[in-house]
Amino acid sequence: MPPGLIRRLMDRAEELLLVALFVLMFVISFANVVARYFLRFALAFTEEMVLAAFVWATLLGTATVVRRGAQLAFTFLVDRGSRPTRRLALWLSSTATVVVFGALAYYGVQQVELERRLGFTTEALALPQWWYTAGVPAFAVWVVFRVLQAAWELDRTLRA
Amino acid sequence: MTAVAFFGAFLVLLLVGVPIAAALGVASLAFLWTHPLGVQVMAANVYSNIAKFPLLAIPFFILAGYVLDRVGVSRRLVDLLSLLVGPVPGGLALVAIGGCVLFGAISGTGPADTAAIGTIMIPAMIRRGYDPAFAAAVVAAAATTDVLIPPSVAFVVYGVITDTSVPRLFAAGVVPGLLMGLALLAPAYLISRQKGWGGARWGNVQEILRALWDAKWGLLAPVVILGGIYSGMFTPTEAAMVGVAYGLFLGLVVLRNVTLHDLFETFREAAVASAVVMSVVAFAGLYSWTGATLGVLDQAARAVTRFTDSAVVLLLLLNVLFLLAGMVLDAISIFYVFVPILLPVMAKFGWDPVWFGVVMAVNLSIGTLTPPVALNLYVASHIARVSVGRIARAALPFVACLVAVLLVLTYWPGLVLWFPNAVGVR
Repeated sequence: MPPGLIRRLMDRAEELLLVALFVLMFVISFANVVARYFLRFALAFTEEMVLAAFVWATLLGTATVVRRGAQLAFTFLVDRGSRPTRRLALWLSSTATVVVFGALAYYGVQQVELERRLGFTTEALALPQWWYTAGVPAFAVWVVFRVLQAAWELDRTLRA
Repeated sequence: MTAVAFFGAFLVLLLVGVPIAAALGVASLAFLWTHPLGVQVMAANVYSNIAKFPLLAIPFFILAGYVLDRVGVSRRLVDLLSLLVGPVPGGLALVAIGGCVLFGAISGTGPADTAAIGTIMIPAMIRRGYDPAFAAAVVAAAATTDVLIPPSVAFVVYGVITDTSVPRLFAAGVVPGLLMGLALLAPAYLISRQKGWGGARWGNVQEILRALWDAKWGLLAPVVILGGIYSGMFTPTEAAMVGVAYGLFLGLVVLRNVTLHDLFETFREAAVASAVVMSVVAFAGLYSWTGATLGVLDQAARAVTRFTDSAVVLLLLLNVLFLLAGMVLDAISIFYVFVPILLPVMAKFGWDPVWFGVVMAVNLSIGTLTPPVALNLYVASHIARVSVGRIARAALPFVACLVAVLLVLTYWPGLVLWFPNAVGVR
């Protein structure tokens, strides 16, 4: 497959999953509200699922934010620098972001192992806790990939 | 010493352009790795910082605002205001301010309000001969009221950090938000009169009634969202979901003006906007937890209390500090960094946390107009195609008026607390 096509497929898959998580969050929580007020029937056990989707959507959404270069940052000083300075700053912020999400992935895997070993289950649905936690390292790795991809592309324009 | 290093590490990373969430994360990790604080819980900590039911109001309020904007609610509100305000000097600017205040009762963040009203009013003002920088500045400044006018994402975050009632914070934001809107009318009117910028024409009774009928869905939205909260029927999070459902119902059933493709885009953009906020929440929470475990937040709090015994002086200094912080940081990270330090200070001086939250929110909403980090200006600059610097200069008279409102609210807590007490929200 040509690289452009792979890229488009990746972007599209990321978008679809993100929207799916958001739709899931909304549909489950809204069903919950309806059930509670109109059917007098509490679906409170769904809350932990919605919150897990919220965590996943935040991390996956961060990958999209990184791809668009839309993270909140104070770039006032850096933008006034020369090209080499800007390149240095680019790699510095990319390294910092990789360290943070790399650490999140590493400790996320450890957390998953711990939860599996001790057999933690969720409060309401009694599902294995690590099913929810596993999203943290998985999406953190994806963010790391997006950071490197974005840095690589921006670096090319700064070198040129 | 540790305290200086802890805050200094974040500040240095921030100043060299590291994204705020990553700067908070690296500064936390530097101390988690060098001190026996329990770094292995990092992932669990980040997870639990996000997975809080009250915070779920954030994506849903963002989504509700996006959906309602997409179904054309903002345009109908603006059309109605335009017929009412008519050709007075600065007419379109006054409509833009009113539109931002009204849409503020639907949307939860300033940048979303800037985008919703700005995409309609900024081009309209430019066509009418207004200076583009001024047109952008009016909308960006008026959108600051959205931070105060419920629903408000900032108050959700403050409520979670301080364990304060979000409905009470929402109620406390009403009067300050309206005061800010009123304060902006004067410079908009005076500057436009001097430059000869006008408005549209007055509508006749029939036209106004028709516009009112067209705007009914938009005018009803705050009733649905806020009415649900204040009748005690819904929590803010549930009210946000109801707001989304209301918007979807309008777009798919009543007005039938959105396609599934539109909805896909709306959900995607809301998810991305939510991630921008929530990634900061995730790592600001980690930073705040690290600071608390290290004990540096207590040290900082003691330093602040020892600094002066005068509440009047301290409030003035804090306002200056927040205004400066608002230039380089977003509101969410300022809440997470400063509020845990200030909680003991509030207790010492007997400050009402609801009032203090409102003062901080006004202050931080002004921060969305003060570059370099000025979210409302970014959005307005994108719409008006004018540089952020030019808009920032055009926004100065508005910033001055907002600072005046800030000082009134700082030294007159009764003005803030009057409304929540009158409606009896706790």
